Amino acid sequence: MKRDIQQFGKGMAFLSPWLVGFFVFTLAPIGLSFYFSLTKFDLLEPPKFVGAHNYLDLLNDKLFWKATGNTFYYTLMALPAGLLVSLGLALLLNVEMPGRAIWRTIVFMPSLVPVVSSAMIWMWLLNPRLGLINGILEALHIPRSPWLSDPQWAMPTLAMMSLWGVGNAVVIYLAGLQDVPQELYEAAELDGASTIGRIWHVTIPLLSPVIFFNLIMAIIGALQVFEVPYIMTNGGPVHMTYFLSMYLYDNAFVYLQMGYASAMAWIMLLFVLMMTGVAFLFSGRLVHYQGK
Amino acid sequence: MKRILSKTLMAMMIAAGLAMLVFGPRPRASGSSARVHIQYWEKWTGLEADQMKQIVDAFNDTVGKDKGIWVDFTSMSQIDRKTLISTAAGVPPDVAGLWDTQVLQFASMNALEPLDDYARQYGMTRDKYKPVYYDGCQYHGKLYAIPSTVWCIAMLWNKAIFQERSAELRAAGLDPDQPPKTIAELDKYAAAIDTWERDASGRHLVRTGFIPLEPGTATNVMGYWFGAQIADPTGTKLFLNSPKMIATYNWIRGYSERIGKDQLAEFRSGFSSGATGLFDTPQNPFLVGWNAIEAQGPWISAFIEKYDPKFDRWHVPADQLKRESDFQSIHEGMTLGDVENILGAGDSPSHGAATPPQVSPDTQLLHWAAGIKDIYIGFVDGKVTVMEAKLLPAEMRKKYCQWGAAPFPSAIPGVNNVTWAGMDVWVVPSTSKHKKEAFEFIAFASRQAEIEKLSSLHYNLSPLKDETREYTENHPNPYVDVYEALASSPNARGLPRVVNWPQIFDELTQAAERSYLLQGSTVDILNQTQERAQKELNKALDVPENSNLSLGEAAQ
Repeated sequence: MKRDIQQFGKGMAFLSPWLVGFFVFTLAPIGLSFYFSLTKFDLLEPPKFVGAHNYLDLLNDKLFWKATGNTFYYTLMALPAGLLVSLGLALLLNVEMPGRAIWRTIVFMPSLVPVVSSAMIWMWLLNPRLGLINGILEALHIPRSPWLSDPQWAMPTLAMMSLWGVGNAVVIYLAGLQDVPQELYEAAELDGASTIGRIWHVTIPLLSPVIFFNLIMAIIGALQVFEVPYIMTNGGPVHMTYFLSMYLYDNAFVYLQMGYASAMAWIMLLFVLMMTGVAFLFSGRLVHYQGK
Repeated sequence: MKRILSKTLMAMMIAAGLAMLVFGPRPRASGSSARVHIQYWEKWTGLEADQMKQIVDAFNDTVGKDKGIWVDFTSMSQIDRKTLISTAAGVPPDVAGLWDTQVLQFASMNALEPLDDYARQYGMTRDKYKPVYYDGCQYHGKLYAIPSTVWCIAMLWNKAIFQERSAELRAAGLDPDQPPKTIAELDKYAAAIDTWERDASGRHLVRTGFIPLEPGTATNVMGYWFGAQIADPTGTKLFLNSPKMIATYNWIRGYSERIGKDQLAEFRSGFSSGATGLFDTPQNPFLVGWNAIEAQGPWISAFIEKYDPKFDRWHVPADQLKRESDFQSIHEGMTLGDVENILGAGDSPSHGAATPPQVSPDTQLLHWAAGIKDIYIGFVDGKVTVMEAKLLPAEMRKKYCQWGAAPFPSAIPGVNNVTWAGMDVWVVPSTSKHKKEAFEFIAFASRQAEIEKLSSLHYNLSPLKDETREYTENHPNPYVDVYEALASSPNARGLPRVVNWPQIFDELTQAAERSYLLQGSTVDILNQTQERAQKELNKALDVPENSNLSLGEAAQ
């Protein structure tokens, strides 16, 4: 018993740097942010308790709902596109071919570029007058697009741009693909399954836990999207690319309404939990774990 | 053995932690430790920060040395947020360089120290400053900031484009050698200069005379030129849907209606390279000739110098242009023959218009004309010892400018020299521990010589009421006199006196965008904007909903 306590003490001592960091820099701020969400707080004056006022204000805040709508609209576009493109690329890169390692590196490389740098590069690529993309379209006699400055085009453009960073997901899929037993493919081939059939009946089911993991990460990432639209459009035109995270940031650090921003952060967490909850709900039927 | 190893490891970790605490890094203050160290945070970066550092160094070497103060200068981004957070935490800088946008916002939160007593002590009173800037630093009758470098908005026009479109301008009854003087005239100039091209996909606008949303610096205060008031002087009531604001936004909308919403959107989209546009790039729309007229600040000269120096050297003879660039290859120790081989024959310094450098009596000083500059080179014993290329007086440089600056036309007859005047400021956070010393430094940097030097280096204006001749003559912007006159005008106006201007600014940005995209009628757009913005202002002022108090009373 005494030895156990000693062992526990030592374990805690070694864990303490992380534990202290977790409690001080993660758990305490989370708790405090909930408290602030029930107050009017501008950083300088002591927080003034206002109960659920901030949450009620949010319900009547049209811009909040606009930003929420934009966030979900983006998620609905970026999520399936990202999953399909990354899975497709992973399947392609899993095929034996000359220079496969080089292709894999090329696909992964963009995800190593810092977000700010890639946003700056894309701003120039997408410039309607000077950009390379419109230049190519023009050479092909396809009408130029205004991309980010057009209210209708701005959001799809951002969703399209999000595909630039699929390299991480591709690597995870590739790792998952290595775990698919070859004998299942051979059996399917003997049964006369086509390539599509093999992917649909063997690869996808066995890769489903990895797909599910990427889905959850993509949901969280899409609901928290901030840097790219902040740099590229600043929410415009006419708030068409104004996301929840941007409204939260503006309220906290530009308008200095920390209480309101904290309430927004908790609502945002609720949205993430809801969407991941729905994903988990369907995971029982659609996700197959090997050996179960 | 395992126990010993485990205990040794633990002891080593604890020892390492303690050693870090005892001998670890400490924030090290530079300069003399005997002096009071004050922390000065500034938003300026790069060259602008280097220029401010020169003034900090001068303070540390003179007044600071005498009074036992040392200024530690730190240049940083997002200074407003960092200053506020550090003030709340009780570890703020002693001096912070903010924007005018934050003065009321921070003062209303008690984040700033009132500076009236210090300012009086150093004679930095309202009569020494251009009123619009001094008043902009006040909140509820107290002074919370000191203007550093300031600016205002004038109208720029591209003389070359005016010449190119002279036939169209004359056909419209307009003078291609003069800028527009009224809003109605501006609209006519704009229409006459608009240039279209046709291709297989249709008609495309390739150049505009003027469009209200570009570059957008003054879009949200455009109402000033229409006589509109954005907020009441107490900062409790907004007037965003007043008839004059409606006239302003109808004018913005009028450009979309005349040019065509989609054509204008397509044209403007060429300017968009992210949230900041192409403003600070070699594709600055005014410099590349996409816009012939713009509402702009004095900083345009910085962009000209950086991206298109030819803009300030229009019609300079080719040999003089070459001489200006060849001057770079002159160095100390060269003989007169070497110099003349490069620059040609020099003449007497009396031929120069720029003030020659002071040299010793044994120095033979010669002059070369080089367009907008006078080159002076001094020789002792036939060898180069002094060399300077000095700008011609501003008035003389104007004839070489491919551009001109004039007051942006007012829509109200008889009301002239209307401008929006903005500024950078110095503040002392309320929790600073060295307020007196902090102000000593602010007072030093605000002295006429220092502030004029800084303003010139930053391509901005001086906040002081009077300028020296040397400052106006040598300012890098040849039209500094136009800007200074506008800033001194009784019709110069600062930011609306509301504590949540950043929020109101965003609301007005949306209103302007919706107007130009013709999303609803101007009245509807501004009614919605007014309703939302007033609600936000009430919230910022803590005015209870359904309160019977008048808004003015609540703000008191």
